[in-house]
Amino acid sequence: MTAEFLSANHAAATAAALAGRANASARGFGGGVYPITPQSECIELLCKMDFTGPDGRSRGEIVRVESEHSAMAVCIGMAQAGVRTFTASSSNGLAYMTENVFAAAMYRLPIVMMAVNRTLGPPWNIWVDHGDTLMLRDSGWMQFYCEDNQEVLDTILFTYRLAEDRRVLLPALVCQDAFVLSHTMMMTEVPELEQVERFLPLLDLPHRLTHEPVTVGGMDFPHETEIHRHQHAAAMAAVPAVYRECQDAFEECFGRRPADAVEPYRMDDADTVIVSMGTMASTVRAVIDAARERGEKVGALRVRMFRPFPDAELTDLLAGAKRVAVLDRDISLGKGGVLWSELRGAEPRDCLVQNYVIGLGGGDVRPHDIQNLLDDLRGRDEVSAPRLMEVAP
Amino acid sequence: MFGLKSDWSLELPERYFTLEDYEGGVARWCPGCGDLAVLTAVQKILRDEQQPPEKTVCVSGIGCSSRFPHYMHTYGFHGLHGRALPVACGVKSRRPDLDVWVATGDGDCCSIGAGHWIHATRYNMDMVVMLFDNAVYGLTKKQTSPTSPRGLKTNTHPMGSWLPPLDPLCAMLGFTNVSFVAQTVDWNPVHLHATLREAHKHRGMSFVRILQRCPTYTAAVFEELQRDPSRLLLLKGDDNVAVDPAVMKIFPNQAEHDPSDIGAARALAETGSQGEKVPVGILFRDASRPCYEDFTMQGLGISAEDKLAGLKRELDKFAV
Repeated sequence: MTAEFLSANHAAATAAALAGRANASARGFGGGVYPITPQSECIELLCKMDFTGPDGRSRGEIVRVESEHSAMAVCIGMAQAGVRTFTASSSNGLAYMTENVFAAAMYRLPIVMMAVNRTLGPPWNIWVDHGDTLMLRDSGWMQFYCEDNQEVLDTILFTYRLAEDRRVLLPALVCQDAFVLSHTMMMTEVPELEQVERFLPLLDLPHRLTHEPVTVGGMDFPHETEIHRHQHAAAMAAVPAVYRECQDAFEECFGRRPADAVEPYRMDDADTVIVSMGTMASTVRAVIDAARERGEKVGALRVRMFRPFPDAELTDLLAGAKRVAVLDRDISLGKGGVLWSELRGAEPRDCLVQNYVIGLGGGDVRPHDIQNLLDDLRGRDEVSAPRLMEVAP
Repeated sequence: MFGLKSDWSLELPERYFTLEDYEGGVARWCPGCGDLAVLTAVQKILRDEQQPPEKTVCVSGIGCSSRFPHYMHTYGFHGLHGRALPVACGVKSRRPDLDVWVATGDGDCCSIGAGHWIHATRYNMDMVVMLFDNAVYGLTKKQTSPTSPRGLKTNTHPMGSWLPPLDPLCAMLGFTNVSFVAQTVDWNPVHLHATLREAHKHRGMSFVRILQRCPTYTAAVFEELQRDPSRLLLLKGDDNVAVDPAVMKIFPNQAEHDPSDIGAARALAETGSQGEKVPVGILFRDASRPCYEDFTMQGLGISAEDKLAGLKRELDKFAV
């Protein structure tokens, strides 16, 4: 294990390459790649890497394709051949890729994709907003939102094991905030290849192209689609248990434990709770610390795994809550924050849950912005429609 | 036109337009970028032809050159990556009175938008398509594009690009219903202006590939062509780009070329794609190729009475 000064883009590429090399003695590593700001540095680093084995044979292939749609299509083809696959994208690139994103999940291929969360355009904006990956909420992929560069690296390794588990066999999307993480360098622990090899079993995809010719895809009649969806839903339902097994294995191999699907902070006696995703959670924690010093019973939850949605964990953690603020760096137009609308129902009876849509388009969410909404929450007698907050430019 | 005629037959007072009337925001391309020359050429053509800004639309996709509409004081549409052509087709199909210019790059047109490129050529709507070809993805900071020359070291091919580049002229001259194909260079403003003017005059989709210097990422790619004009082949003739004899002297290699001869055009494009005798001028022009608008505008001049009479005639066929 070495400590390196890495941006989250490079942390993601480093993790993907390690996972890929750990599959060298099976069917190798690869993916289709296409640049888009603010993700390009991730795929550029992969393009600079050499995946030639000691015998001179290629153990990996990074295909530089002409669009995001093709990038995912290449991953689908490679994954079907049994290869451990990776790609990365962002924002409108994900929007263009969407048809194949759904297809990858329907084919039940354990592809891992890193997404840098960036505002959807037009008008064009390159800063953070979670709306791009939340657009893929119903795509059948697992989704994880990271808070720092170490978590990006760890989660990519972690999700390969989770995605490739035969009880799951689903693709995974690992999300990180544009520029706040993608272009910010942090000291990051990079594991040795032997550790990764110990953590990640060789990929043995049961439905890969092998000696029995079959055609995947094809036509479903309604009852067959029902069966396929039921299987897909069952795989999602299996995730929480496999997730916990992966946490144990990760801790054993790397000496640190990945966070739970929902990460609690100072929740012991908290009656007021702030729920968020991504890097806003760090700012929230600073506000919670200040409020605790004033004797206020406040705590925070960070939703790390968004799909499958951790309903049971949230229900347990919010059992003692009287007031909950849900922060959304996204907006489902015509409804409100996506996290808020998903979380509703996990709160106990008589708990006030207010949605705050904040930091859209990459607005800098600072501690006083969080404090303002905490004050708003405390002063409420009843909930209102989602509040669209403005942060200072 | 389904009742839209009132939009496009709006009567406007006569005015005289100066270059300033076409100038939008201050261009923020890199110093020395070839896009600046194209911007000036287009503004001059519009001024020379006194084209009202409100009757002009510039459509682009994504990339450095796709900032073009921001710098024009006309209608502008900064669209999605690769989608400039279908958006332009949408505008033109319902507003055939508008003068449509498309600014697209080697990434936008030949890579992510290549599917639309083939079909827009076949639709052959009346518009000018300017391919700003700098042989690299510039906006995302130096990745290989389909037109990057073999061996070009980029952030996605650090050891050098290994595939032969796509040649947009060869591709265009193979597409069904192609009607106008030309090539010019950004560093010869007279030829650039004259070529775009010819493209503008042509009725149908006029495709102009502009060899466009990128001083930041591919300075060396066009340097040789720029410094050694003997690498270029000026196409001349009665039906080709006419430039001042003093400008023609710059080109040591000149050839008579009849743009109606698609076989000769393909041969010129093929030779140019090998880096020898890169043709500049009009390779192909055929004004008789059908335009999409020829079909959709049928019946526009028919009066309501005539339409009603026609309808009655048809219904009468079912009379018992």
